[in-house]
Amino acid sequence: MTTALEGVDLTVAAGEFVAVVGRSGCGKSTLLRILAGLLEPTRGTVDVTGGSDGVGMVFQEPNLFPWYSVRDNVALPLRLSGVDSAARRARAAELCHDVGLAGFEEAAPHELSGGMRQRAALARALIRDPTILLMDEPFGALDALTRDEMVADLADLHAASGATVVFVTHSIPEAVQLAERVVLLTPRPGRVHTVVDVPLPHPRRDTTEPGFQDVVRQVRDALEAADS
Amino acid sequence: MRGGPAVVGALVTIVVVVGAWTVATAAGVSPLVLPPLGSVASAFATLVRSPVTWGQVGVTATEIVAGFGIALVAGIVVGVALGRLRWLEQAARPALVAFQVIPKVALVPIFVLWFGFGPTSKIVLAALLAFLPITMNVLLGVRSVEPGHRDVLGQLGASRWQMLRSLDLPTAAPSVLTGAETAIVFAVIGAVIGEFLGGSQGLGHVVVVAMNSLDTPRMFAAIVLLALLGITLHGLVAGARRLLVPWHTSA
Repeated sequence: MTTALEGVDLTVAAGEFVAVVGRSGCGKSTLLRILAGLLEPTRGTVDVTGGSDGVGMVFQEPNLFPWYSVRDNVALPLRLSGVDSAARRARAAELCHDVGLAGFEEAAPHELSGGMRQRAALARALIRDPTILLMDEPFGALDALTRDEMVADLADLHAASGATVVFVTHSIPEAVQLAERVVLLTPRPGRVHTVVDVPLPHPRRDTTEPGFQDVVRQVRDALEAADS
Repeated sequence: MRGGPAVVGALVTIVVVVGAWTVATAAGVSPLVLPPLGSVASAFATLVRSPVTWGQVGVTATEIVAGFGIALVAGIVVGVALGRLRWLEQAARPALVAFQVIPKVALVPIFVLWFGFGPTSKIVLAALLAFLPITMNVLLGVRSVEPGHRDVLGQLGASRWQMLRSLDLPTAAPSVLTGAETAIVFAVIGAVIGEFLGGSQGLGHVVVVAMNSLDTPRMFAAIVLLALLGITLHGLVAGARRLLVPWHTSA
């Protein structure tokens, strides 16, 4: 058995947006799956304030259920916890509106574009009003334009909801654009190498701005230092 | 709609078959071998006007549906078990292969011996033929659950029952119904072969009696009726599939 993670000591404050970056195989996804309760850590503990009900998760794939409409997909978490159908409908409509899917409630997942499917997945993750949102390379499979749009919208959503976000990505600019802290994970076994603060004001639309580029370089240098 | 080409293809097929048949009978093929279409049509009319025929249709249809029903239930149970428990599938594989390759029709004399000349032996044969396509499809269906979908429900803390209802059953449903579509055709074959080889009831028996009395038009008419019965039953199962799994587009 290989050790995916070792000595990951990380505290994320309430309402904070933390991005975890690192090369493939550094255990980013494992970390997130442990936080999500999908994996038991072999050693160590994870303290998640609010319990599993307070956690929403977005995966790299939208993972929508093809036999449900967009509405039923978004409302799935509420159905599992026994909320009645009228309340589910209303809440799903709200969430669809929030993520920019208003009017697509009746659509089948296969009728949506990749970006819209990921929006639906985001709505599903947010519908129980999570205190913590876990995102595992959610925009990794999207084209660059859609990705820029989604990043901007996610920043707005985060500002509005105040949820804590742990965001795994392999794109440094994406991490810098969204997060207040960027955690660099190094592989075999996965450890926290560096934590870089991002002291930039929101919104960070202009990624060519010198201050932005400085932070990107800082993370990139740390990544290279970790490799050598 | 698949539309145009399919309709044209069907019409061309009918025209070619009817044309070839008409030419052959006009060219002097013995009516014992190939009766003129007209006499088959009138034999068919006689056949469907007789209430006795509908009794025979009922017998055959009952055998098919009963055999299919047994195969469906058994196939789903066995398929889910084999799909979920890998060790069980490995242990059962030799038996499954053996079951697949033995000519089940050769077992008819045994079934007649065990279950008599009545409908039971036909139901057993129909169920036996229909069992494998359902089992194999259910097995594949249960295995095709996407890990990502399981993660979604796992993260949401879904119970076992919620997993089954929201994920396993909808995932397996298209395969179950695809298997059912193949199985209903096999069940028809099983019932009719059973009637050919032993017994005194059913449309298969009507065909054999007509053949033995050299009444070729009646034989053809009974075969046409059998074909219609098979098409109807298949249509019902295919319709159920479209109704129950509309999200599954690879029809």
